[in-house]
Amino acid sequence: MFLLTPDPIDSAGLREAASDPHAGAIAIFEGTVRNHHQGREVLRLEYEAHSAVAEKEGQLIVREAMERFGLDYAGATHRTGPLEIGECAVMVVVSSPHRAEAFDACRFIIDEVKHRLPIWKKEFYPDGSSDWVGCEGCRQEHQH
Amino acid sequence: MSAPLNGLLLAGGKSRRMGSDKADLVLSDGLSLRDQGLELLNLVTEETYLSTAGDDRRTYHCDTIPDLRHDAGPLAGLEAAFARAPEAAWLVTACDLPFLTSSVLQCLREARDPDREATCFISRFDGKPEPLCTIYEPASAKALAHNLSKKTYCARRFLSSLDRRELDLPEKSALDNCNRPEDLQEARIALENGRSAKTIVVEYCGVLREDAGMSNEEVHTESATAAGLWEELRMSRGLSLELDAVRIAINDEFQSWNHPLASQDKLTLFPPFAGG
Repeated sequence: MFLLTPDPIDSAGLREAASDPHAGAIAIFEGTVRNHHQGREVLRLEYEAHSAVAEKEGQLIVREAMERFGLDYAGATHRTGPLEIGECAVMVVVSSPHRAEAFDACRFIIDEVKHRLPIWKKEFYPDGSSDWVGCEGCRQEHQH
Repeated sequence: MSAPLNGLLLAGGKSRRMGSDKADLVLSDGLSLRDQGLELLNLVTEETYLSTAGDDRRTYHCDTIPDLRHDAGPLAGLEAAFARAPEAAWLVTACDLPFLTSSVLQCLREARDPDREATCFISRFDGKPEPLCTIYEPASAKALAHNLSKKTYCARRFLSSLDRRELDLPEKSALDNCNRPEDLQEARIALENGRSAKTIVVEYCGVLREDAGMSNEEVHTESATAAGLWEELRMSRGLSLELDAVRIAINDEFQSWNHPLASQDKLTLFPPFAGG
């Protein structure tokens, strides 16, 4: 189950969904908003997502993880909109019969989420400026 | 009495983004872009030359003019041409213009104003003068030498500084160029199937939405692929990313840049992902 939400992530609810008598392990990853990026102080963030494509691709990632690691359950939720420092931006919960698959699957899902989902992060800095993360290096150099 | 008109085909570029020498590429009619460019110039000029990098040791079946300096781009080619024949005017074109036709060059020659420093077309993308399909009169040589001495190598800036006659393109896509494999695919499809008018909804995300100043718009285009439409939008909408950094979806499915566009398609432009 993959979800995009503008509301605070319901971590207890997600954890509860992973409970399964068949499972011997539950692994949880929470990505939180930190107050610095590449040496720069960050005040807050804003996430923008292309919902239609992100939700479809997110479901695909979760299904891939289920099959690949033989999981009992896999779920991931990603926030959109403005977030404060310390808030949970993304949460992954998986359960499986044994711990190795649970750890691996959790890692797999968060890595795929970062690489494959059309989600963008804008950082806001103390000097009033802001920037899109990941676009700094690829801006065109205009030589005229 | 106007100066005799010679032709200069620029082929000394590095073709970095294409990954192989663009001049060697072959389009649908079996001619390389280099041979096609030379043939077109031959039709409208008295003497035609291939402009090459100074260190190019290859043999060509045509007269060449090697650059006299390194890494100065198209202007170095023009400099070497004026050094070879200072009394001639030079019609300069580039080898990466698959849609250039003899009638476009004919139109340029007929509109030539030898009393000005240059006669050129204006870009269909941003209305600025196009330096790489232009007649440079001998009178422009002085300004050229001045620019090169100050290491100002931008051909467009040079042309913009000249006293020039500007023309609208008689064929809209005549100067669309090929810098990447994606552009070439666009050219191949357009040359083989012809161009057809279509309406595309373009969706902008993240930094591209801010660049464009809107989240979506309806665009009328004749581009065959997403890469062709990107090239149209990049300059006119002031998009700040290079094609390599952008991914696309068509009708909410990830696709490659070579994917053909159909009317009523929705094209979504994704900046580099940064979730998590």
